[in-house]
Amino acid sequence: MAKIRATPLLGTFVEITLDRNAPESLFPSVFSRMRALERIFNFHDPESELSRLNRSAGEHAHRCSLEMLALLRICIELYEASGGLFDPAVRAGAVSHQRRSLADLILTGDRARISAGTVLNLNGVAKGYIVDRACEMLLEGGAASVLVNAGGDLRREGAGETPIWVRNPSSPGELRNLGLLRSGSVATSAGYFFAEGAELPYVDPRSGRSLTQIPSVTVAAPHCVYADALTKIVLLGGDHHAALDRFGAQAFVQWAV
Amino acid sequence: MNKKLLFALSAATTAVHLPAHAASYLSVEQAQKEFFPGADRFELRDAKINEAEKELIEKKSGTKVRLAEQKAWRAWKGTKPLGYFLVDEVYGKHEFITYAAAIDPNGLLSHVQILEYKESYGGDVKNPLWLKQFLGKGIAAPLTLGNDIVNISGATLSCKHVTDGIRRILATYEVKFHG
Repeated sequence: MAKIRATPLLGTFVEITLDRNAPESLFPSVFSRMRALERIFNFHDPESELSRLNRSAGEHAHRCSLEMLALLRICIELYEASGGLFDPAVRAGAVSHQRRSLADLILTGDRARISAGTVLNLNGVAKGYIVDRACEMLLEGGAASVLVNAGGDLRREGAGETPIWVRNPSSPGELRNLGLLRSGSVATSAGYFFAEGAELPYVDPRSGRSLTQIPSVTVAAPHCVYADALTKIVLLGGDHHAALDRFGAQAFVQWAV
Repeated sequence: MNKKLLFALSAATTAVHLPAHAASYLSVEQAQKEFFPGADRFELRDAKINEAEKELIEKKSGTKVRLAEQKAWRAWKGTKPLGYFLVDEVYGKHEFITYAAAIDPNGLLSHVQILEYKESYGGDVKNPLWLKQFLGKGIAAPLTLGNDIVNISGATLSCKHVTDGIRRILATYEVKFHG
């Protein structure tokens, strides 16, 4: 029997499944590591490293932690591969002269410099990144099989395979089987847990507007950080976007009927 | 394409529909052991909450107190108190959650884990399959996949109700147990 634990984390529920022989002590240590990573990337916490980076805009170069540096590099990679559709510097409702893009971020060594008026929000990738880091930590800690599911963005590694399900966007209580996952990630972006007509937390960088009607987009990719970001790229750029191939990913789109 | 990524997305076109999600993660005893591995005794300290205390807890936490009793245990190693273990339940529009928290002797939250999670949607209640999954152990629920856990990739479900519950538990601790 596998060992499974769940805790409120990253604004959602994080569920971790390990093989029966994995040390129990891995659970508290990985949960606390994930909380520490959450603190680095928390947009709403004025004490987070991300907030300090944002406050440095137009002022000075911010010296990044290794985790911040790694995630910013991934963001630049995704920004370029998506032709700017993935852009953590875009804010909803910014008028044209206030608009910024990830091109306003310059990385030199471990220093990040952002131009005045630029605000980075890493919510579209931080969860996936933290899932990846948790997975690596659990494997290094001696687990033979690992599944980390952060409120629907998940990664599985190690022995065996696991059936994965997606919600039906017309009736989120109903599940559809996606198949068996052995190694890799699945992430989903969808609007069914938001109020009807609500502005969703997805902004189209071409118009600066928040999306209101979206399908359920599920992406499978080797790493959760890319699966997480690619769901947003597919939302804006369609399920044949070249970025999918680039990151070894597949997309599955369901519209509510 | 990464060949190790064994994933047949095409399977979704021949979808199997199952009703959603219920999971049991830990029993109270398992959670106690995990939160306080050094404890040799858990003293039952359930506490009634009177009207005045209820108001005070609501004011401190900004959340409603629904239950007139707080389930609580004090963890001991010999004569040394290790902290408190509290169990609470919260519900949202679609979910019902029981969770446990540990508070260390300095009054700081040291662990939170979900004990049980049940999810329902309006339409599901009419579905006998959905009801069946709550009939308890011993009856083969149709979606049982290793320890009742279904791995769902979906839109993020907010943990706000649990976060509110934790604020209430910390305020209850201050009012009823601290000092």
